[in-house]
Amino acid sequence: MIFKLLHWLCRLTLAGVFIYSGYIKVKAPLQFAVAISGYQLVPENLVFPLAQYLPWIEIALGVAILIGWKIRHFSAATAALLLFFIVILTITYMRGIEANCGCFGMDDPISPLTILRDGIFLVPALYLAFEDKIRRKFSGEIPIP
Amino acid sequence: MLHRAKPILFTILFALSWTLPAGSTEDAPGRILGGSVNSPIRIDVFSDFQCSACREFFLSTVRKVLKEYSSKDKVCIVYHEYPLAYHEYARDAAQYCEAAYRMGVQTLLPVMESIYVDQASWAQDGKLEDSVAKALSPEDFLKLKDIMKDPTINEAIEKEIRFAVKKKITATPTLIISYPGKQQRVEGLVTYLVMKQFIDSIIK
Repeated sequence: MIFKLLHWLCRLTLAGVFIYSGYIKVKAPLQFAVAISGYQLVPENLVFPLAQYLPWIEIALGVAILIGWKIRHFSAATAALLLFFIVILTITYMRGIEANCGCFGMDDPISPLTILRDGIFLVPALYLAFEDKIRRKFSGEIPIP
Repeated sequence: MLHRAKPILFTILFALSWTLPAGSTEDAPGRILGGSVNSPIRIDVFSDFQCSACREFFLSTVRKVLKEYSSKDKVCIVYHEYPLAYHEYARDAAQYCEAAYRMGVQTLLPVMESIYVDQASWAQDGKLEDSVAKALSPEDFLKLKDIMKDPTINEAIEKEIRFAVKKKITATPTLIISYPGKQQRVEGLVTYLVMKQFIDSIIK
């Protein structure tokens, strides 16, 4: 029961975050492009294409997790994307660049809190990706070879 | 699985298809810098002459968009004054530009350009007149100084500020971009290449 509850909590949280985050960016791709430019990491000619397509990847991941299609694979992909975001945010913060995260709209400057927030989102993604192993470990089930 | 997913997918697609309607800007103030009001894209620029990002945006992006797109009536650029209170000379600059606008857009553009180019200099000493004089013939400069005495110049700036406040503008530059069926708001510096890719994605 507790595992089932945890599973749905992680699934709904992660799907909600990714669909919402993607939706905001799809609605305002130019604003997201300005946020990407602020990181000073992406060549200028790739900024707008990235701003156009990355939000759809986020939405696709969120939808896949919500409907439960290949959930382990898509959760692992979501965790990888979150790790990528955390690395990018940390590098930008360490470089002392005053940029906007662009994660959930514009009024969101990069700070240790934004990095921590992405770190918190990583927990449900990792849980769903390794759910079988975690359940076996805690319920004492014997792994199927 | 797909049977169960259908209602969820439908809800998400419905939510995604919802977009902001293009806002009515008919009664709005602002100066058309280029392009027809019937252009497929309208960019309302809220700017402050003493802000460095606004300078960069005007000199690097707006000028090129005017040349490449507005001249072909693909983009209409409407400029709104929003002199921020903590910029000592921004309102003076806005007043000079309002006076120049009353002489025509062809007078306004070189004045705006000159004011932005010399920003670092007049922002220190407030000597805006030198920048304005440089952009005009002596006769036009005298005419502009005469127009500056008109009290409605300041009223026009006040109207612009009220409009910006109504639109909840909090930073400069802020752009409100309207195109068929959609409207989006952008805060911060948009480079010309990014703007070009965005415009091309709409008008193909």
